[in-house]
Amino acid sequence: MLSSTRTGTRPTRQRRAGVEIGLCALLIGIGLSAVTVPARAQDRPSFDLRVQRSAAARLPLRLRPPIVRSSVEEAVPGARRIAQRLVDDLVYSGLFGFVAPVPDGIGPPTPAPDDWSRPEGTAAVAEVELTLTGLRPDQMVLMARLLEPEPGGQRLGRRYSLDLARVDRTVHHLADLIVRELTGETGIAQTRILFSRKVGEGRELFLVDYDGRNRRQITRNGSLNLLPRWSPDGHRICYTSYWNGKQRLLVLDGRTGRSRKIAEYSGLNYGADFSPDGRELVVTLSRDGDPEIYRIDLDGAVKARLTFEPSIDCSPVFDPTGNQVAYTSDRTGVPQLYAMSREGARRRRLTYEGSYNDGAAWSPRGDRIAYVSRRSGHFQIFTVEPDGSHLQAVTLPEEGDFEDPAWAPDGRHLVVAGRRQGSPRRLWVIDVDSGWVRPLTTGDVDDSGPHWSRPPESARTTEPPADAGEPGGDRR
Amino acid sequence: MSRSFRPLSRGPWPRLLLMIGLLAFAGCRGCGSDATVETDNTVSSDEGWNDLESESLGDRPFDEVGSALEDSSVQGEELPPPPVKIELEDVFFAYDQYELDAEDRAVLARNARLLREHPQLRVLVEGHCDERGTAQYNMALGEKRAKEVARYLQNLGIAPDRIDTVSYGKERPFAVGSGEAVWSQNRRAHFVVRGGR
Repeated sequence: MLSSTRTGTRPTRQRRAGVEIGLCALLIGIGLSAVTVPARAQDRPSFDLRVQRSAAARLPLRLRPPIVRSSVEEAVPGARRIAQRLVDDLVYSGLFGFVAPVPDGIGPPTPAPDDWSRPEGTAAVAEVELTLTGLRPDQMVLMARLLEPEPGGQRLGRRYSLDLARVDRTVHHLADLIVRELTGETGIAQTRILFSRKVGEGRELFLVDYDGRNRRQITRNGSLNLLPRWSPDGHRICYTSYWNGKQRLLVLDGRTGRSRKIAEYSGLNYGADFSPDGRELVVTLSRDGDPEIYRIDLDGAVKARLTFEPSIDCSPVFDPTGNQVAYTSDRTGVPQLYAMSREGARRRRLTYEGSYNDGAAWSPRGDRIAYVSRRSGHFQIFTVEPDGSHLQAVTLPEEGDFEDPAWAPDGRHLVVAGRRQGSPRRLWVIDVDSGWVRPLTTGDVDDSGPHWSRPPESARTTEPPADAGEPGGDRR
Repeated sequence: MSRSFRPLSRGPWPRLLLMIGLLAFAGCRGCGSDATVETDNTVSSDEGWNDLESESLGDRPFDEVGSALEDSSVQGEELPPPPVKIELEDVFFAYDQYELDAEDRAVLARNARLLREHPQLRVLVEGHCDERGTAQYNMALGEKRAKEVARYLQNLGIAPDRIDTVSYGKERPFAVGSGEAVWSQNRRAHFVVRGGR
């Protein structure tokens, strides 16, 4: 039943729905063992709208055969490569499929979900026309148009200068424009993912494009460099490192390439998360005894202590408004998720199922929180809404153990670290709405702590919610 | 005056004079005899100490003679005593726990005794966890383990300023792999002994 293709599998909707751990399902004794109960899933009163959205078929696009007006030898294969990459990006978004047959030389995206192609004859919502001209391979011009089906009014037109040896950025930009034009959603094709990889005895920070290309190492200090977090503007990275037997918090400025120590309090200095305005961090320190959550500024000065329990409090993350903080506390004896205001007030518990819940990641849409939950000895990714309702499994125990969930800015994709189907610990991207999984890193590696960048301004559709106030402020 | 000469300067003058006398005697033997007295390459028989005997003291300015007498061009450096090597035993924990059991307390009692016997030494207590669970909670758990051990050592009379703690969470396991045999080795507090300050 489990497909094991290397390039990713797309669990059926029925199977996924069957493992949603609804409280009602547990009460009537269905639980995890109920792997295929399609009818029940439809009937559930708490059935999640987002799963219905995924059930909505991918919007059909038609790709016209690329037009090449150039005598440059590389132009024809170059145009084909550009078209293929555009197909890859638009299918990755989860929002689009391509009406069969696609033009000659264009194949399934890599990796390909089952439903990437729409049946022949399907009416397309728009057609993509690519025209490549130019006299030199490194000085070509790409004209991209998004046309309405007959009679063919233009929805979008863009001209790019490009080097055929470097088409990635151009295609990602175009893909995000198309996503925004046709769906109003924020595209993620121009985003990148930070993570920590084992190198020798230490761990170093790496950066990789959202599709797994262009991986590069960004620290080389031989220490343990952990839990990197983007600043909202994408110019800085906060991370935890060690020096001389001490843990400390550093900020790497991408413009200078220099790391600056911002906190080296006695004990823990780790797991920082930037506020949406980029001016503050929530972080776990133990300077007052045991692990507690603090709000600090970018110079490391403590602005507020938010927790006061003698138990462990850790893993703080801001919600997209910056007014709420989700975190982990084991005050009941086992780690569970809680939320509180940015001042540490109005605490409430979010999770009651499972005896080990940690690693909250608040969706940029604000509507759900992804986290790690131990179930039957396996570490799985779940989501829960900010009011503690609508618990939903994202991974399946038989797929392996997963941790460190982080949301893409579209609020639909998650990147996680995990040993999937017996693999070394690598990074995986999960389309939470469809369940489709694709590898982000490969090989004999040990990767952890991924964090997804925000898209550049040009791809953003709306600013993050202003003052949404109380959680559950529904932005669906 | 450098510390290396303190014993001499503090010591009785007769001893110093005796030494100079012996040197003079040796020099005299060197210059007054054809018999080769073990001359090495660094001090030839024509200069250095031997010149003291062959020259009239009165012909040289006093301070030069003084500097010759107290020649300090070779000083060496202070050699500290060899570092004391003590081995502190690791303490192991149950899954998801940071409490100490009877065996742990016995180990810590032995470690504390060694630390009391070597009051110049400091110790870094590292808290470690096994690979199961999340990076962040394990980091906090490792800290709890290290702090619990530090607190117990303090109760046994070790000064707090001799003990540092650090958590490595699950990021620096001792044993690689999976299974309880591996995991149980990785749920530990490990001690790094540091020299005196």
